[in-house]
Amino acid sequence: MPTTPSEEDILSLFRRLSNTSDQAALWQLHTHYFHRIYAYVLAIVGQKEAAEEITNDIFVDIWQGRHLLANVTRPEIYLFVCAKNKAVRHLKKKSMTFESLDELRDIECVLEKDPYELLISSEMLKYINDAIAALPPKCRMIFRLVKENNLKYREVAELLEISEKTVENQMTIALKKLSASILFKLV
Amino acid sequence: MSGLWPTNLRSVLSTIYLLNMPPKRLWELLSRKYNNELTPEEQEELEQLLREHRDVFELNETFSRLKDMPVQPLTTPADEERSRQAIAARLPPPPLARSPKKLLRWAAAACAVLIVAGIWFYHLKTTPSPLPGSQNEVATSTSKSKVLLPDGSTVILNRQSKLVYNKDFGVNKREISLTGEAYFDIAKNEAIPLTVVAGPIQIKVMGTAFNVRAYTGDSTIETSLIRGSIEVSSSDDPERSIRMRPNEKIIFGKNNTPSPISPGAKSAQGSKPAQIFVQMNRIQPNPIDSTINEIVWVQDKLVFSKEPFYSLAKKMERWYQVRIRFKDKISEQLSLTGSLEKESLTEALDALRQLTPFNYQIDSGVVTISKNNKPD
Repeated sequence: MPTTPSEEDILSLFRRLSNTSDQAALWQLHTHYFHRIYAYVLAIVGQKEAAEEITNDIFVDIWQGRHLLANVTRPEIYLFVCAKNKAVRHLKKKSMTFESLDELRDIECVLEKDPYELLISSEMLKYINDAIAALPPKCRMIFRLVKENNLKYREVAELLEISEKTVENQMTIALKKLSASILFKLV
Repeated sequence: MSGLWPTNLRSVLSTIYLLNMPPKRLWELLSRKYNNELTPEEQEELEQLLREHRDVFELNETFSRLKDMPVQPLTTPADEERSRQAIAARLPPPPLARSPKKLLRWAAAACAVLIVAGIWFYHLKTTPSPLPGSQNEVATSTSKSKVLLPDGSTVILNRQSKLVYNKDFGVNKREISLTGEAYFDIAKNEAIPLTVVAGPIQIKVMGTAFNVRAYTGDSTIETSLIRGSIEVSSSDDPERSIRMRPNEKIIFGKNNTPSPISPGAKSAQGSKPAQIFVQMNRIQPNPIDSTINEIVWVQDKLVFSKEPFYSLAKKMERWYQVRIRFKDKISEQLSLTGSLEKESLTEALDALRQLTPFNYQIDSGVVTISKNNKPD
């Protein structure tokens, strides 16, 4: 997707931060990742205000620890791991724990038409979104993570501390349920 | 639209689907395909299964398009802006840079973020050098045209528009000048920045998609950003540029005589800068089908289904580049279904009248719709 920067793009932003303390690079990261990190954090903490605060903290942390970025090789995963650690620490402070995927909060996931992607009808898009809304929450969260962040199943598995097979299975369920309901809606 | 398939075909398909449930393996393979992890053998196996399950084949097509559809963010640009301000307040002031030019840019940028909600950036700007003598030109008259630029960017050029770009586009620099309207989908290349000049307006582009409407006859120049980020400035005040966020539209009002289209055109030295009226609007996708009025013209076909006339009219305004007014509430609410492709404006209106009676009048680019009082 054109909106998703490549790994090299993000690595070069990281280098600008670590080598030249370039604040503009931080704002570029913010543009690319604010909404994605926010969605991920929200899935863990389940509360909008807290999620926003934690997401802001992450960017401040990145700035303050920018010298550490020089050693990062997988920038996207680095950002999400930071996010996860912060979110889990927040839950601990509130004497809550985040043990497993089952505790992911329900997160909505709505697809929209890329303005350039005109091939899919609005009717079809509506069916797809209805079907996504009807997915089990766990399934929907994984679907959102994979789709929104263009992550590999292996990477999602790492972030959620579950097996890659589980992610693949959940995506299989998602695709199957999506297909079935779309097909029957049309029929 | 009553459905994608004719009814009898659909009922046949549903029966096939019930009798011939695709095996779990098919979904597994589709899921692995989604992750780009299929081995050549699995690819073969998937193709075989898809041949046996034609109905799923259709869905497979849909799913491959699904990959290109972005997920709607849970946050709004306003949330992002609030976050930027909260973060900026906790950062130290930017460090001193070596070059005074850079320093000014930085100071300006920081102020903008802190004070002016990050929308207005004051930059030292160098005016782009004029396009070299050798340049490429694409012009349209009565039909639209899709232009593929050497760097992989695509431009859809609306009717009666002209696009000029430098010969070594993408090698050394990327400079485009536009008269008329175009939708730009620009390939990202930070090393070679891209500028679009439309009359007095200059747009600095990162990788992005946006629409510029700058017909010489119009009293305004509109820039709508669909995604990514661009910086817009006017030759009347080249040092002030506006950084746009997705789903924003900037309208520049041209003052008096529009300056001739020449890239890098500047108001004469010493003369007072003309007051240019600037308005920033939000782009609102249509609630009904999430299309965006600003870029409806890009489509080859205008499709509508049980759509209220007032909403269709908005699209037709873009499609035919006219204004449509309603005399009464009743005609506004007429519900219309159909599609327009090559029809002229009057052909289209006459066709629509066949479906639902109404009257219309065209007077210097303004169509007035009124209810059908007495059929004669």
